[in-house]
Amino acid sequence: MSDERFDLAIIGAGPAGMAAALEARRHRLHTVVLDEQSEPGGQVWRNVEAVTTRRPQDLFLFGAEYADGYPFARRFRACGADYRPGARVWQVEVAPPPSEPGPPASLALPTAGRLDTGPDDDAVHVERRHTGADRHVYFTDARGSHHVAARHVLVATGAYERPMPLPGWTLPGVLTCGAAQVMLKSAAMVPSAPVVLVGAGPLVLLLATQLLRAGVKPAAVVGTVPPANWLRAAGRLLPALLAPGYLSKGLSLIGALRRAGVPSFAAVTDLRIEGSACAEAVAFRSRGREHRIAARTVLLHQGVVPNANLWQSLGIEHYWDPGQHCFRPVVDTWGNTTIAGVLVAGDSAGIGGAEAALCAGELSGLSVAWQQRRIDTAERDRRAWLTRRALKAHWSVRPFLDRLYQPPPALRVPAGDDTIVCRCEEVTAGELRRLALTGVAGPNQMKAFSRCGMGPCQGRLCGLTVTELIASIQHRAPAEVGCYRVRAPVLPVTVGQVAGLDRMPGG
Amino acid sequence: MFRSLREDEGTDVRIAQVTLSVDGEACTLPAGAPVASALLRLGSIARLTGLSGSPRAPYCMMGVCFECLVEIDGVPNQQACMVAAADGMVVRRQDGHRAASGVSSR
Ligand code: FES
Repeated sequence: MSDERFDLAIIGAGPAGMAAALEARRHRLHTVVLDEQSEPGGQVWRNVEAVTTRRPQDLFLFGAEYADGYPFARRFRACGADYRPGARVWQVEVAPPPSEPGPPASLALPTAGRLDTGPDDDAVHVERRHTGADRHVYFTDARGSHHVAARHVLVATGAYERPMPLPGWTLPGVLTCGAAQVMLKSAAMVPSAPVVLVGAGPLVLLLATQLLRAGVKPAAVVGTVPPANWLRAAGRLLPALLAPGYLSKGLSLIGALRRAGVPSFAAVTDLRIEGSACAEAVAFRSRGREHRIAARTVLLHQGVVPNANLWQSLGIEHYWDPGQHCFRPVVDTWGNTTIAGVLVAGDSAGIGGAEAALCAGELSGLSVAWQQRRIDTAERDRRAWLTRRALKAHWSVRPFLDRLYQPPPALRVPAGDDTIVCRCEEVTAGELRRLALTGVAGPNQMKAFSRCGMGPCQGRLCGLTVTELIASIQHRAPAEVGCYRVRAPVLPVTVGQVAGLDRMPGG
Repeated sequence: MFRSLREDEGTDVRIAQVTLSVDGEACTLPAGAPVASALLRLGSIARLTGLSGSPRAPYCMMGVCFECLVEIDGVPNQQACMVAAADGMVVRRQDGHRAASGVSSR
């Protein structure tokens, strides 16, 4: 087994992970960054180095924010962190010796008042330095399985798209909007026409305009925002206007789609994707009328949710955020969790977007430098001051966006019994509802009875649906219903890969 | 389901291309593109489900959904969206396979 020992191990090289690495290196922390992609950037800046250097003619497709990723990635590569691309982490191990203190006493569950806000200035600080034992990170790359030890671990695994269980969503030809962006960024490919975008959220608008620029005019943008969401969001418009640039960006995207004459539908219901061997059409009701739009590629999006498996496998205390409709880890202003020496930053701690993730990553890097006595409290707080203000500004748009784009109930828990909830094990909403009515205690029992969540995706694409389905049938709060117990390894690992760990010295 | 951005302009010489085969069918891709993009380009499904034998194709392209499990160069249950295409790769569709055997999800 490898003897490599670091001050800080960062999992994920998206905005949060890169920002944390830059800050950690500023204070000379011996830092390793493990990322599953072949280039830094995360999903937002996916493939930005290759696009910038090898396909510069395509940069215009993605806009200025994407291009900003290139200089940032260059700085990250030059910062002196040991960057390991293609590394897929399957386990983080925290085995505190008996002498090590438990969860920091000052870390309390957020109160209801700040559930839909990000970390803010009044949030509790963990004024305790973790100086205890190493944490262990296990990962696999093209050369085999490896292990590194580090005093601190930062989980910066980002987000993925919220599952959108509708009739027909398992048909070939149905993908997420994010998948279409990956295709454009990493394979220079566009979806075959007719393309229909279905759902809600900034990414739908962004992707539609990117496809337009790429010469693929969507056959339709089918919006799912219920009218009631506008009313709920309106009250949060004022703080949203103070957040830098978000709303004007959204309006300009909408304008571009209008000018291009992309047909759009709003507040649709009764959504379904039709087809036998692959997707053929999207059908829905809008303003009291039935519509059916032919499609070869259907791109779904219903916002993003934290990529939580890794921190969940550590047993970090978490809570249900009713604004974002997902579980979030309890963290302080710096990203410290209830497990000493483990931090979570960026979207994997709650959806704040790339700009907020940059700030959060930086704050986590500062906190680790402080905990390892590279800087004193005064310097930490002085350096954090501006970043925390920026973080707060970026979060001020969230209450508006979260309310506006809150997925309607029928898209979180399918109304029809035949709709597949668990794609891996082909478990339907009807079967889950029957079990929920018989009184299953929670998601774990549901899994044992139905195999829902037992497939290779390990519940990533059914977990939230199962929680909300049980909650709605049994009239309980999602927080009380809870979520799947996630255990390592968080990726399917073969016996050979685990065995290879011992045979292979060196990381 | 997908086509090249520059189908009409021919191959861009600045970008290295690789050719792999999917169930015997050749597919040329930009180097570094995920194997799953070949499946989507060919309109090919990745696997048939174990229970009902329904066809599935890549869905998330970011390692989350596991719908893209294929056999690559003889090794089964590889996430095609997480593996970069390389020249001469042999990709095969899987029928009814579940997760990697051995230590696996619970
Ligand atoms: S397409 Fe979802 S894991 Fe590969």
